[in-house]
This record gives sequence, C-alpha cells and structure tokens, in this order.
Amino acid sequence: MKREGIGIKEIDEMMEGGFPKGSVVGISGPPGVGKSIFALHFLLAGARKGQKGVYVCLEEPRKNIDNMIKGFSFGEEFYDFEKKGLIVIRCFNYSEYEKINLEILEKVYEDKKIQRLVVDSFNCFFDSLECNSEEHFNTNVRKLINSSFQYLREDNLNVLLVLENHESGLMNFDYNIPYLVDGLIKLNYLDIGIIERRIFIPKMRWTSQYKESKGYEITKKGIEVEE
Amino acid sequence: MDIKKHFFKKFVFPKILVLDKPGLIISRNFNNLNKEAHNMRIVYSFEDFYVNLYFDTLKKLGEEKTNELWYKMGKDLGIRYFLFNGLVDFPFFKINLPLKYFQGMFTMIGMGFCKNLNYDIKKGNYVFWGNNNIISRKTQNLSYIEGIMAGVISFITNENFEARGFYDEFLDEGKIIVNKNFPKKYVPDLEFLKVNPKYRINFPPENKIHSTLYSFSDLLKFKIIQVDEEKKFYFRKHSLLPTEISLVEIISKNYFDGGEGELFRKSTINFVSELCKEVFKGLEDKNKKMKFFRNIISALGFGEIYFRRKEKNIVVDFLNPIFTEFGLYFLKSFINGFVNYFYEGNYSFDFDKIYSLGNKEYFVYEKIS
Repeated sequence: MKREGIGIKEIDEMMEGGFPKGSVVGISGPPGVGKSIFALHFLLAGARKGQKGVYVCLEEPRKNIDNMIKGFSFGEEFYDFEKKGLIVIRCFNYSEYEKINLEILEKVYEDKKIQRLVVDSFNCFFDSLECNSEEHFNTNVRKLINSSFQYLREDNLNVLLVLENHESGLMNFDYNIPYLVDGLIKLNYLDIGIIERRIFIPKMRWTSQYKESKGYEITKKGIEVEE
Repeated sequence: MDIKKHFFKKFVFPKILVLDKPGLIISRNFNNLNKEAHNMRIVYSFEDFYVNLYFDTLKKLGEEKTNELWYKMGKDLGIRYFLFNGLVDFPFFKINLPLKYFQGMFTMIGMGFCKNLNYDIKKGNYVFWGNNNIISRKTQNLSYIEGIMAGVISFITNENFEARGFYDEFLDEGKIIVNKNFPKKYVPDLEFLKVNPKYRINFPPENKIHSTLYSFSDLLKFKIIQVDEEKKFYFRKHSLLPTEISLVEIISKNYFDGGEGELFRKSTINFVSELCKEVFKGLEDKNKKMKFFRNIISALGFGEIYFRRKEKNIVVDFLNPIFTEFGLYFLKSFINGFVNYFYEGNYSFDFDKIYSLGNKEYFVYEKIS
C-alpha cells in the first residue's frame, strides 16, 4: 500500500508512514485542538513533493487563514508554494457555498492535477440544505454525503475532511461519515490549568495504526508530537 | 491471572468501581461469606508523601519510636480495612478465603510482600514474602507493613498476633513472619476503628454531582495520570496509592494523638510545597495553577474545592467533602501546603474545626506571617 505522509513524522509513524494513497480521511475534534493546522501540514507535505493541494475553507475568511499561516515558522514556505500554484486556498462565505455546494467538489474532481484536498469544515455543507422537517433534513444530509464521496474517491486524490465536533459527537449528527471515511483521526484536549492535547487514530483502513493516543503541542513549528 | 485468585476476587469478595466522578471515587465490595455489599470511598495519595513523613519522623523521633508508631498505624490500618467487610468471626475452615482476599487486594495496590504466603494455622505462624513493596522500597523499613499483616491476621483469627520483618542483604526481597507467640507490642482498639454510621455522608446522590472539574478517569485518558503494566498509577513519576479514605486519616490521627501533630502537619505542608514547585515550574499564570490544583484534588477523589479570601485569611469551600471518624488532618494539611505556596505566606488552621453551610463545608486558613 502506497502512503501519503502528512509531514509530521511522529503522526505518519502512527499509521505506517501516512494516509493510504487515494483515501478519504476525517479529522475531528472540539474547537482549538488544531484541526486546521493539521490540514496546513498535510498540504505543505504534498507541495514539498510537488503535489498540488487545494484548501477549501467554508467557514473562515481568507484574512483569518492568513493570520493562522503567518503565525507559524513554515508560513513563508507555504506562501511560496501558493505563488507557484502548488497550494490553492479558496474561501467561501455562507451565501457563496449555499449556491455552488457540490460544484466545488465537482471542480476538484475534474482537475486531475490536484492530489490533495482539504475541506474545512465538511459539516458546513449540511448547513446549506433547505428542508421542511428534521427527518427531511437528515435524509438530505445523507444523500449529500453520499454524493460528495462519489467525487472524493479518486485513486490519485488524498482527501482530508475537517469534522467539527463537540462533547457529544460530531456537531450536528455524525450520520454515516465515520463509516464512509477510510480513516478517522481524533484530536482532543483537556484544560486542567495546563492544556493537555492528545491525538488518537481509531480508524485507518489497510493500516495497522498505533493503538494508543499521543500527546502533542501547538508551537511556532505547528503541531509537535511527543516521541 | 491465577485462576484461584480470579475465583476469590470474583466470587468471594468481588470489588467493583461504582463511581468515578469529579471529586468522588466509590468502589463496592460484595462479601459472599455474609452476603453483604459495602461501599468504600476511595482516594489516591502520593507514595512519596508517606516516604517523606517516615524520614521526617525518623529525624525527630529516632528509629525505635518511629518504628513503634508506624507498626501501630499499620496494625490499625489492617484491622480497619477488614472492618469494612462487616465480618467479625471467620469460621476456622474458611480462613483461607479472607487471606486470599487480603493478598489479592494488597498486592494489587503495590504491597509486593503480600505476593506469597505460607501458613500453619495450628502453630499460629504465617510467613509472607515478596519484593518491591510500596513505601518500604523507598524507606527500607518494614514496620508499617509488619503492623498491617499483624492486624489482618489478628482480625481474621480473633487472636492477637504480632509480626517481625526481614529484608535480604540487597534490601529488595523481604519476608514478614506473623506469629501469635511473639511478645505483645500493640493491641488495637476496635471501638476506635469501627465504621461510623455517618460514613454514608461519603456517598452523595449522583444527581448532586455537577462539576466543571475532572475525574480520575479523565486524567487517565489524557495520560496526566499514567498507569504501568502492573496497573500502578503515576502522576509525573510520583506513584499514587488507592486507599479507602480513612486509612490516611488514621495515620494523621495516630500522629496527633501521639503529640506529633505538628510534625505531621509540617511534613505534609513541605511535601505539597515541593510538589507544587515541581509541577508548576515554568508556569506563571496563577489562575492556571489554581485550576490545576483543584482538578488534581478532584481527580484524586477528595471532593471539589474552591478558594476565596476573607480579609487576611483563606477560606476553602468543599463540595462533596470526605468524612472520616478520624478527622481530616491529612486533607487540611495537604491543602495548607498549597495555600502557603499559592498565597505566599504562612497559614495555619484549627485542627478540630470544620464549618458547615448546607451540604457544603469549609475550612479556614488563618494567616500567621
């Protein structure tokens, strides 16, 4: 099985060298655990190998993404790759993605040069659905997820879906996402005065992944994982 | 696991963790000999606290008096532990059942000298041996565990037994002989050790536990508390001992009743102050330090605490506090260590005063200097 590293050595080692090539992986966790930072590492690692990556941001304006990138020591390198066209960042506000919805994924699907895709956050797609009832909404979300995955499953494309979650699970409902994705990475933290963050990989198809959790910190270098 | 041990643990005295919430850890023993279930409130305390206390005592009282005191405490502890099971007279032919239970439970919390046992009931001789026993492995002294074993055998057999311990030349392997013909050293007062009906205060209704703090299992999940292959728990390389809440306060009570309360208090305060310096190294934010300490107290099972200033004094409010018949000298002294560190002063408390306010309690630490 070919692997696509995410650029954080200790995390790649937790899954035999990286994501299985052509896989769709979800990353979930409460606010502030570093899901988007993880996504930056993922795109950067691809760009370093000459792979084109796209960051579809459905929640934050470009200004906020820039502030995040600038905060890390790899910021300059990240922008260099953007200038070269190896990293593409597309931010949409609610009214925009409400209209285009799956067209975003369709376009990524059509551009065969794209080898890495981040959707941050995938939950936002659900918000754009118009429904009369909760039952209707649930059915439509499931349909939307299934349709999305048709575009995301490509031999040459590695996808990272950022999934928001709170104490009780994924933000709205977890639907069938944990079953559909090839891998699931969970980030979590505990604030007891000192913040303790941990990463755990409960699912990674075709991989004998590390069974324990590992501690990590968010520093100027991005995500740093304990040995 | 040895099938016999499994049987005894599972069918004679099964022990179940019934609750692990912030500030509150409760386990239940079900005793198949008399068909009774007993809840115990559990707390985790630091092994190094006991080790420091031993050395501080040794420094002040000398070896003979220290060993005498620790043997006495051990014998009280051994008996108190069994009193929880509501068993007074064990039938002669069933004596192996409580013995196996004792071995299983005490080995599990790190009392390595309980691992092996040979005994001759008729001759009244019991020999325990093993290695790497908690506290003793650091103090190289066996007096408290001699006391515990003497207490347990005395309780089970309903006769007074005394114990003598021996270390091998490398101070690792140890052997303890418990014999009814050894000269009498100390006979515990069962009235003093019996379980007070008020003990049930320790089990507040689950719907009264609303907390923003964390539990032992939360900290375990995030590896702030770690567990090794032998199921021993650690906080920042300091091993933690799970005990029924009264056990640590029996120790404090022995010190206070023996006129050494101040020694106990100072030793505890010093231990906590040093621990705070170590844990909070590099952390400047006072609010974070406070939050950390409150969470540790909560996770270790001592209840939920809140600090507030009242003029020069510090008031510590307690929610779901622990109750023991022996007072709360340990807990008060432990918090006193943090108060001194955090508020950068010398504070003290009235040993016998606990203030109540509805279902809450509070202690007052008065500023001395």
